[in-house]
Amino acid sequence: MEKEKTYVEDVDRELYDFRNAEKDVWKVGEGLTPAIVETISREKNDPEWMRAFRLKSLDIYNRTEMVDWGPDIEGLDMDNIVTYVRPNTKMNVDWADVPEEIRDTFERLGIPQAERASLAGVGAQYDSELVYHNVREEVAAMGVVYTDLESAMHGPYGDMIHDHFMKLVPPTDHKFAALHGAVWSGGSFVYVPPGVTVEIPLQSYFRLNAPGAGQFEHTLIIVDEGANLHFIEGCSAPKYNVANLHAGCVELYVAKNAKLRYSTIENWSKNMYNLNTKRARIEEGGVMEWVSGSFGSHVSYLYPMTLLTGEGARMTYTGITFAGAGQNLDTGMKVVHSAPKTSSAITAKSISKDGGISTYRSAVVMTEKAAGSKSSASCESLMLDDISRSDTIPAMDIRTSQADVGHEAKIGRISDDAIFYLMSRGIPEADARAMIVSGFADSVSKELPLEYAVEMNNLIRLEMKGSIG
Amino acid sequence: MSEELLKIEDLSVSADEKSILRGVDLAVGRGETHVILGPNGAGKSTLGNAIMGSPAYTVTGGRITFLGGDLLEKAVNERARDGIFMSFQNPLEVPGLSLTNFIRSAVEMRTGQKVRFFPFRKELLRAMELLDMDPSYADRDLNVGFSGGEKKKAEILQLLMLKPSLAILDETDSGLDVDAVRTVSRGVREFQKDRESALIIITHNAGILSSLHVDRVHILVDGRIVAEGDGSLVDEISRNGFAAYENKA
Amino acid sequence: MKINTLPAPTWRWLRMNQGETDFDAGKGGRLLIAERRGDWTPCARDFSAVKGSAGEAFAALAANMEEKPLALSASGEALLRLCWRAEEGAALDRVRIAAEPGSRVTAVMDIAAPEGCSGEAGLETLLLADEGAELTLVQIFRVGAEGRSVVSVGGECAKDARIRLIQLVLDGRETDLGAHVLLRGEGSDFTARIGYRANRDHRIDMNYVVPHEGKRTTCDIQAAGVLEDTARKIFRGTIDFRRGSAGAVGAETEDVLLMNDGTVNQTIPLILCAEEDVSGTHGATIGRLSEELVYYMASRGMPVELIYRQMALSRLNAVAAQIPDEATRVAVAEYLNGADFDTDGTTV
Repeated sequence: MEKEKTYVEDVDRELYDFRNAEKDVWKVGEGLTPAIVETISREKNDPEWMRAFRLKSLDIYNRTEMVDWGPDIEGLDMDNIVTYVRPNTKMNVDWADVPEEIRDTFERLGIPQAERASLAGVGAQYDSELVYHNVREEVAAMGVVYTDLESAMHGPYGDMIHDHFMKLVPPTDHKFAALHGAVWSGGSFVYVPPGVTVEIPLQSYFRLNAPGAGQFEHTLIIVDEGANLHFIEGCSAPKYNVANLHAGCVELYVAKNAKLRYSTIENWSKNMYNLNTKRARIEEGGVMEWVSGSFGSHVSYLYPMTLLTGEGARMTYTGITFAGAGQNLDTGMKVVHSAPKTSSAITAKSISKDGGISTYRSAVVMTEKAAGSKSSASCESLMLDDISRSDTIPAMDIRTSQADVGHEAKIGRISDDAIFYLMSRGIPEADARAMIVSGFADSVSKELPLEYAVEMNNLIRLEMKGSIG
Repeated sequence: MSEELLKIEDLSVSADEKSILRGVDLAVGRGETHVILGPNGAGKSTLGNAIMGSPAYTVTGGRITFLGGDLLEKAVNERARDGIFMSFQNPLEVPGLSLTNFIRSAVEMRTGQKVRFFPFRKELLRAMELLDMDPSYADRDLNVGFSGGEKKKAEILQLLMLKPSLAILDETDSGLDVDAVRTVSRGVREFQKDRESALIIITHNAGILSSLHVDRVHILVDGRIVAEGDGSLVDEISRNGFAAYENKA
Repeated sequence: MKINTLPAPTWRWLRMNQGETDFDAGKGGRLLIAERRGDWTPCARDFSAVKGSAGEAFAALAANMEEKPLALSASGEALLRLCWRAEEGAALDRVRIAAEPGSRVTAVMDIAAPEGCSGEAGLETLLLADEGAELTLVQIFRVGAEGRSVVSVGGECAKDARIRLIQLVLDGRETDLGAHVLLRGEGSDFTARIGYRANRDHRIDMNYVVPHEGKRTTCDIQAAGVLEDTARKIFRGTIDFRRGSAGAVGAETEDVLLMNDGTVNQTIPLILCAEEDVSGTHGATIGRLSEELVYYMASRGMPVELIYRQMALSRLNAVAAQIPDEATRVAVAEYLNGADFDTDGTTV
């Protein structure tokens, strides 16, 4: 008799896979030259320092070697990537002013509805530019700034941006950081003044519609002393046959005793090369919380990094990666403890199926200055068939004896014992398997606000039947 | 009371910022056997650990004097050297360190003298025999692969070898079968023999006490000593439980 | 040359992807057979497919040696004790051992040098464990504070074969070691018990790689060590479940005690998995002793300093106790006794 196995369905991407015709857009040519960078800079009305910064970054890009340790990115040919695509609209503060087709896109993604229901502010980026940015009046009244980076550069926060922009992730960090420095466009600037708690989340949503294009948004968040913020980032794109590139950059500054939670649901299409860089610096007593769900992309390199630079700074990372057919998702985290009594707690999960490859890659570093610090990591991988792949590559570099470092990893399939136990309580095998898989993802979904947890559960829709092998 | 060994005054202790002991007084003289009885969660083990100096507990108030000196100022190993011993509920396992070498180190710390191997070994094996311990355990790694009962016996073995002036037995009888309880009691009686050393027995059931001489019983409920009496109090608790004392706290 | 390369590289800034050594030797001939028990015969088997843990550059260096490898095959119950005799300068020797079907073979390699000798020991050891054979390799490194060892171990297991490895690094200015053991046959097993200590500015570089190819293959790697002063150490451990290794189980654990600030402790335990029906785990505990353990030991009168000394020693003792050959066990105990630490666990 054929053994029945649960078939865990692919992430259902239909919801995200609609494309709009490119019309009335303005874009630069393919590839990367000083002329193109100059053009972007001129188009964006950069201050002079930013223009120089872009050109310097381009120079670094040209001199920096391609990464040689992660998933294959040979399919990504920079000569074919369009680095700047401007939709035919200015930035708006009212959805009614957003051109219908773009507004329709975000309506279908549920962004305006979510804004009304549960968000303190929303930014929406379409290709290379923000098309909408708004923040609730009462939040703005507390002094919270949530706007696009370009206009902020020319306003009262210009110096602050100058002092923080690509200081955590310098263009020399790696080749795609240099690329980002040269052609970045769009993204958000958030400033939360001292002592202010933003009760409900801010959200930025990034949509890449143009085929063969790159999206290079920059997110800069400064949470000042004692302040508190939850920021949500969502991303998606329709699928094309040509490679798209996402090389965004997120820089987060968490001041003394401040707290920031940064949640991401990434659902790029399967032609996307997602080479995103995220980094946070946490000062004394500050708290950083990362929640990360990676479902989309053809190839991902994604490792949020936390620098615990102040005494007692803490961070948690909760992440899940779901790699299906045609996907090679290399995700994880990095943390550097360089002050006393800092702590990090890491929970990472991954699921591989249908030939998908998921890799958990991490680095936990404790310098000599990190006396009394703690780090604990738990990482679990689930293999749903024998044509997929799941690798775990955790590095630890510990240089203080006053450390307490623990690391645990587990890899395997759904346990027969667990199935047996549930079946012994009268639950049919198929249900038992589904319960275990959704339970596996539960530790991440419970960290998300309810509507995003629902979205995530939709993303991992678990189908009961189907017989493979 | 005979010469005073241990004096606890108005002791308050907390763990994880939670207050557990709230003003405990206790005096123990040489040669006396005291019993601390109380329901689960009353703070009995906390009291033992506070005397021993566990880093998991914080003394927030009061004093403990041992042999006239301030005990709270002393490091754990200094308390041991001065003659305090506590049997652990969950003794730790140390691969690569034999039971013999461990006890030998401990005896050297207690006496400040190099141990002469053969007389030491002879005494160790004699004590193991009294405790029905297989001699092969002497060369096994400390507590590694020991059953729960063997671990408890190994604790009593240390008690007999170290000859402390104050021994605290923390739930030494819990989880043991009838035979093992009898064996452990035999070890404890052996320790009581010299009438010089004092004993604090922490327990929530009276089983281990039936064959032991008891001088004084203290009922600990909710971080406070709510009743005290002689050995007859043990029988009363055996019959009626703690219910009558629980609202006195 | 590059040695001890990680099978799946990671960020370059961590400097963990491979080790680097300037070890170079033009000759061998420092290996002596100290004892031979049981049925040993010269071995003409082909070891060319067996990969060593140090990697290709080291293998190429070894292949250039004029001296022929010591190649022996054993059946039944057999023991071989080899001594690596230190002199000034570098030398590289090669050993090949085949354990015939159903045999119980032990090979002990004592890599020793008098204190102060700056001799450099190169050793390439390749092993074949035939069906149902159990082959135990013991390597003791005690080349003094100035000596250096570069060791590559490679092995392959046939059906139901087992390779056990015990490596104990007692000292040495630089030690490169590891093992690459291919579990080819169904039901084969690799077990490693590694103990090390390093002080001063000494360096230990380790690389363990276990590809599981056969069904129901198992491996268990346990490393325990102590670092002091400004010693540096890297532990690479890779469990590689290849397609077809259904039912395989792999585990690795590392436990590192850091005696003071200023040591550099790097650990990178990989699990690579291309098979559904497997179970792989790893765990690492790094830093100081647990508060509970220190409390327990202190309650028996021991000051913290002594507890750390004692625990450092007990880690090595626990590995040494696994050595099946008594003569070697005694030699190790004596060495531990003489070198700064006190073996019997009493006051230092």
